[in-house]
Amino acid sequence: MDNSVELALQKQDCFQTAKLQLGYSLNNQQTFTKWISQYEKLLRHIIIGFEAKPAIQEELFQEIALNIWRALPSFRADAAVKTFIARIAHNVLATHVAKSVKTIKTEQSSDESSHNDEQQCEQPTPYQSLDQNQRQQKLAQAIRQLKLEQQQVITLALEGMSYQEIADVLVISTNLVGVRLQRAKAALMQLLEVA
Amino acid sequence: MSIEKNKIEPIINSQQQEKIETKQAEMLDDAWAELSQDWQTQPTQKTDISALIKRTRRRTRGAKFCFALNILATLGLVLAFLYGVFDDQLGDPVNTYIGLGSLISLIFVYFETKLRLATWSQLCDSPEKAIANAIAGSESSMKYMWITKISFLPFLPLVNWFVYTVGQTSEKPLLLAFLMANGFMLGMYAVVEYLHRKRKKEYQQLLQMK
Repeated sequence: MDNSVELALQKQDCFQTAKLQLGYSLNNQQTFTKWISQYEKLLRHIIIGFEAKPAIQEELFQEIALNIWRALPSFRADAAVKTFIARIAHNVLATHVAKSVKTIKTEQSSDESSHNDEQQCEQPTPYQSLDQNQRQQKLAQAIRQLKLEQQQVITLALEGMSYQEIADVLVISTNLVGVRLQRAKAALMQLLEVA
Repeated sequence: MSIEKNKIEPIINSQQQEKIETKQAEMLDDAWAELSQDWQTQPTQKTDISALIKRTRRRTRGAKFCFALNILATLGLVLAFLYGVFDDQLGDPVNTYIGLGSLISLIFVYFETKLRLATWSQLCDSPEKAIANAIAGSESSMKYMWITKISFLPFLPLVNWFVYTVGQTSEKPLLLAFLMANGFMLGMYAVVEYLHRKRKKEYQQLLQMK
């Protein structure tokens, strides 16, 4: 009699655990879907600032998505989702830049972009006179030529993040964000010759 | 008259300088606003999120499965060794081979666990530490490769001794068995050496970035 009661209780426990795990997993999936939908654009923009080749950009996006998925259980509700996601992305991208310095700095993104670059070289027009598509390509290319620490602050600042948000993503002081951003802006303007 | 002029000139100069700086700052702000707009309106491709979830799940499961398989294989080797020792049916050559094999496997599993735990704990680390973490990961990985290479030293004589001892009781030609066993070991060593060199190159690159 006792055994049968114990068995029933054990079964109930197992069922409860499975239900909790399933609920947790479903909850994670929903959160992941929500976050990716919400911040997909931000992630893709940041990636463009670090890598020129579309195929590698896609690989990096998937790598970041995988790391977000893995890090989901460690997310604390008091932290901002945007900061959390941007930090994971920058972690992946900093490692990527460090491991493939040569390919990022020197190779062209695609035939199309190299064609545009040739046009830009032939016409030394100011940044403002280019059409939007050309400007966007030139901007991304210029950002990829910056130092890693400058790339990090500039990609976040261009997304409209405040000093505090950038400091939270990169885990540095707001003063340091200011210094780095000022230098990055100057270097970027010089590369683009817009000011 | 000249004294007054000397007094007024620096004031005018500083005012002009201020005006220039203000104008430059305004121009920079305008340029920055334009850059921000260009950046934020960049076209991006749309992600098929359900396919992304499937791929992400598959990759996570794949990694977990490989890790679990490693642990299970090591446990299997340890159990086989214990069974062989207590049951005394497998014979000394097999027991020795499995015993040393399980010991080396245990060392590898320990290192792999350490590597995986370190990688997983660094996911939300500061991007400032990303390169330092990558260097540490690269160092661990190189150590893992080095241990794999070193493990060939005890394994090579062990495999040859095992083939020789088992060959004594078999009618099959010994030379072929030796060639196959040593060829396999050599192939494995070549793969590990290639990976080790790749990691070393990566490590040097990371050090340059630091």
